[in-house]
Amino acid sequence: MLSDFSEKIQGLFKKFRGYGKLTDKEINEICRDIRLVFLESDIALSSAKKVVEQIKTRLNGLEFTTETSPGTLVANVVREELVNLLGKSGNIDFSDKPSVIMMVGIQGSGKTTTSAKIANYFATKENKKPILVGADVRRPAAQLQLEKLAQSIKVPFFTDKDPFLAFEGALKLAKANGNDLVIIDTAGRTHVDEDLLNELKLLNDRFQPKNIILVIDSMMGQEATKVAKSFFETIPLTGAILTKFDGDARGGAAFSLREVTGVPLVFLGIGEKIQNLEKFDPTRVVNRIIGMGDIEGLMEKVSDIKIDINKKPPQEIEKWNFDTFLDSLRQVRKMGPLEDLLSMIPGFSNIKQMKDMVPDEKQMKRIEAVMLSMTAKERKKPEIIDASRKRRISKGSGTTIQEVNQLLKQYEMFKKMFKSKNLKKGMKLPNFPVGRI
Amino acid sequence: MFLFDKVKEALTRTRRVFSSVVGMENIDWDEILEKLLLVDVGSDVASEIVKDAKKRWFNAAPIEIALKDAIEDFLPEGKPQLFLTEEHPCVWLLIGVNGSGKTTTCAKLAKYAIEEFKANPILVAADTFRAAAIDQLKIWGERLNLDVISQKENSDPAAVVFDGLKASKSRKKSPIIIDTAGRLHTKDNLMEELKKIERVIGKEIEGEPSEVLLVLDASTGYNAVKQAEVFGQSLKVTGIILTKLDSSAKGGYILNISKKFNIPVKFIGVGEGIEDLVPFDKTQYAEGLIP
Repeated sequence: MLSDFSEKIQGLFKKFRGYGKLTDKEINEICRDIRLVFLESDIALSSAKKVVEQIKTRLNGLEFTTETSPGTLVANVVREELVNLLGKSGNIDFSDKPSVIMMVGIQGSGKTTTSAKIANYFATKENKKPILVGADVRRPAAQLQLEKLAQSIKVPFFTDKDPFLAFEGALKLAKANGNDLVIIDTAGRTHVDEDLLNELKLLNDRFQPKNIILVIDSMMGQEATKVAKSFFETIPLTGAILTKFDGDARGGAAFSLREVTGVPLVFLGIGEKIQNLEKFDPTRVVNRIIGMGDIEGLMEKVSDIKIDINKKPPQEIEKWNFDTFLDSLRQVRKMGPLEDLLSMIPGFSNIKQMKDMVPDEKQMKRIEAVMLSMTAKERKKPEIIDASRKRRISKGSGTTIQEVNQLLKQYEMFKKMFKSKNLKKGMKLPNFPVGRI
Repeated sequence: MFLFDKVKEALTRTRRVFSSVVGMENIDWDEILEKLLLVDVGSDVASEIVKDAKKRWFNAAPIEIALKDAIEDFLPEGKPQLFLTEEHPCVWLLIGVNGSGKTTTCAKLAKYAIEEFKANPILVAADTFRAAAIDQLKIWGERLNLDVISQKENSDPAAVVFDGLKASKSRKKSPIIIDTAGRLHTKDNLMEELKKIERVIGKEIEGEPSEVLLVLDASTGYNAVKQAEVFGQSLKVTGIILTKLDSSAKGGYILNISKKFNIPVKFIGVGEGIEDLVPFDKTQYAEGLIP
């Protein structure tokens, strides 16, 4: 996630790690570099200038000791300033009964998908009873898209032929059926479209929703601040959501948004699946950006799914076979794509070579297929697999004999590795010994 | 002409950004650089443009001409064209990240093909992932009175494409305009899916797809360069369609893309209407960045 940004910033830090002390000239040089990185990361020009000034002031007052390298100190300053710039995360106001969230934004930012994600989030995590409302009557099939998403998460859906009727009808329906959260998906509009902005204004005047959330694409460039500003001047935004954060965009929009409008970020969209929405946390985002990993996010992911802790991998190598391996593999896969998980581990984004070692979802499936095509006996005692069994396994799993061979070889290597004397006592076995097959 | 005005209007919003530059006695080159950065031109190209413009200005060119020429130099020569022949059915494949405007652009391209080439296009709904994407394309198909080939949601997009190619052959339709699901370029498995679609097309009709069009959102920032790089590595991208130019965004990053990967911009989208797709004109674009 955001690996490009972290690579850049880390590259920057490498440059002055190891200097004993920073001179004025070096500070100027560093600040120029940081500013350039910020700009290329699509942080708004005005915000970039401001934050670099602050960094400069703090760097001037910094005293360097021998214990901490200037690189680390500078990194900390930049991190702190970025966290400051992002501000605290916002919240949804639930004081109204029912509470209303109106989603606004430009076309293609991800309003419809995000509306469904929010409904799912509050339904599963906070026991709310949401209703989704399709008030986008402009884009062909937009209402249908939301209806389908609503069906998939078993949330009621309502729409009408114009946004005002849809809004009104939904509120009535929510009161009658006891829904406590009404999420309104409005039509996408450019921030220079006076007619549609006016429609938003009228909707707001009439219904006074307590939550108006601006949806912004994290790939957005300098335009993001103009968009935020123009929406902010039209209606009282209460928060923002940054979507498509799972790409490699540097997400500068997140930084400028708060600075330019004062609107806090509430959620991050982090994938195509309906569950891929997480609460915005500035520290976590900045840490992930500059390569500190996101252990908290990882823990959250682990606790979200029910992992059977009784099914721990065996500690003794003798008990390791393809049965235990299959179990471990399935538990890990429950948590989502492996690459997402690994990117949350501190330091992992630094190791470029690791990227090729991580098998993607497809390969994991193939590995699983190979194991599933073995008989129970073969899984328990892989040693008995001979050429004829291999042929059967490869046919059964739709893979090649080479792939079966490779998995077996890795199994052997893994066993050997952990039998070797070099292995320190007390070291735990990794959950799964997969490589690229 | 109405459409021309619309393009002009779309570009004047950038023009305003630059208006303070014109006629300056003492030129603040840093300010010009900043203005280029503000329309999402990457910093390396922005400084090159400033350097080049400086040179031209010293050679007594008026500043606005110097800047315009410097910008134009970054864009490829010649008028961009779409490939279409009567000898065999042609495939135009649209790709891009989520929300860039592929489905709408498909419909606009179909309309363009009808008017410009007097062609008989067919639409293929290979975005089987996003809910109701198929219905969205079908609605456009109805409005344009065109066949839309589709299957159920979540079916294999390559299979839909295969159906589309078969149907186009028997119904004698060309070009075959294929809408694919939006995907972030960082998802390797989804990029593989696109390669598979390309292979299926090449197997069915030799030498196709004749156009692989990358749809980019003008309001995207520097990440667009990365998108062009990764999509370009996976498929043979023949051109870019720059959408949503009717907002105030200008997509200055196309200068970086053009410099790095030499992919031409073929069309620009300037509105939500079906006619709001016009061929890219580099002089007009360069002029749009300065008064």
